Amino acid sequence: MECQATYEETLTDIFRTLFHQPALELTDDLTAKQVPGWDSLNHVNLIIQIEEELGIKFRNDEVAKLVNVGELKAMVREKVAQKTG
Amino acid sequence: MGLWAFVAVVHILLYVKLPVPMSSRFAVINLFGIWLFFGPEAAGMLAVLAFGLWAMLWPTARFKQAGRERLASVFGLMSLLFLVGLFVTYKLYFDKVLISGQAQEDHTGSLGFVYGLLRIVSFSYVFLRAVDLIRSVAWGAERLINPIALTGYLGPFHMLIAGPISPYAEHLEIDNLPRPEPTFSHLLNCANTIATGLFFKVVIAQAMKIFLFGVEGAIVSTSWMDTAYLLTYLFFDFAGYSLIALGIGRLLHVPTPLNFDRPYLACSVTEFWQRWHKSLGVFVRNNLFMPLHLFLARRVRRRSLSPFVALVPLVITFIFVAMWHRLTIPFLIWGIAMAIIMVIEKLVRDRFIYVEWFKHKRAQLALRVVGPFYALCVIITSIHYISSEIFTG
Repeated sequence: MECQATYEETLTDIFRTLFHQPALELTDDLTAKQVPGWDSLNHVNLIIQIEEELGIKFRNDEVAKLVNVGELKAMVREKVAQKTG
Repeated sequence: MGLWAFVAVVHILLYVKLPVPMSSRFAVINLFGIWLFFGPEAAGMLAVLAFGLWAMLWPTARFKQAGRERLASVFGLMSLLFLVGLFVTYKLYFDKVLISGQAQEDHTGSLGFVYGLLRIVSFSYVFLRAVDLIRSVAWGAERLINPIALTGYLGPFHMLIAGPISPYAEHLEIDNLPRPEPTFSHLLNCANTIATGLFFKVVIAQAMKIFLFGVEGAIVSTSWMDTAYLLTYLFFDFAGYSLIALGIGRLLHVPTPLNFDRPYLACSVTEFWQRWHKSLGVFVRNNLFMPLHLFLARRVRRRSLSPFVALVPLVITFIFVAMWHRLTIPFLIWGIAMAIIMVIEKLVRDRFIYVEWFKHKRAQLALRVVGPFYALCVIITSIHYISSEIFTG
């Protein structure tokens, strides 16, 4: 539970900093279209930052498939769980 | 008329319950359709290509199953290089010969089989679908379907003329999703999409062509205005084809992506290419831009360099798109110019976001008014530069 709170907080911090929106709330149905600046170029920057902060790695096809924040959270949760064993 | 009768028969046949995966059933009927509308040679070559690709990808899939990722990658790369080799050979040799005015029939002799195979590889998005198939099986998480079923993915009859390019992963959904019961509203919806496509293609595009060039006249562009006119003609022609394909795809429940999303309302060149021929955009994003960008971004960590890190994959992607259309120097320059414009737009957009202009209603309104005008001016100017290569009559 604590671990989940930590990675969700990290994700929120990354989003807020990268897209210059200090009040941004990460709801599961939030998509790239709803966040100014979340284009395919910044999508890669976002993924790289998440990888660096959480010490995980995404596959190329996983990065391309992501549709909304809910899917991103689920994928991160799975990878963090795999990492921590 | 024959096409519509065929579509109706396929629609009914696909509802018959059989213990065979839908991808295989659609593929068998599709091969028959290709034979019927494009001739036995086209159907035969499609089958040869599908069996060839399947044979090359089978070891890849087996190695992936066994967890031997490196070997799977090697075999995947070999398949990809072989396919690209076929495509480039066609573009450099046969396509060039055709451009220089030699008749197609010149290659029906001893080179007939090679020409036929190369032509099906380069023909109307089959190549791009094959690339997506290789990437999905070798480096993605998708399974390899049987060679017969592959023919249904590589050359679906309704998407053969003018795309769109359906991703392999989406095509596999045909086996997973339950087939919905036919309803009148669904039929009406499909008929509406097909009718809109026919109106675009047969009425508007044809009227525009006849108005400017006559019934038998060659399509040529000599001025900036001609190019603007021809771009609009191209939109109705291409979007018309794509809507017909979309309507048929929805009717048969065969995954068929939307190809045009009101491109003339785009506020930037970047947005224009996200709305024009969307399925090609998705293809290059998933298969080229994203993997290259990720590869570079993981190696160059400095945030201040990120626009330059993005420039390289963007240039390569647009060079690929340009070269896919035609292997010529003007197309190469066009591709590089488009990529540079998009990076400049990205820098401006980021600045716009940084100073929070997007929150001001006046700024948003100004962008909506000036944006489409700017985007169209740039697009028309750039297309005019390569118009002699596109509009060759």
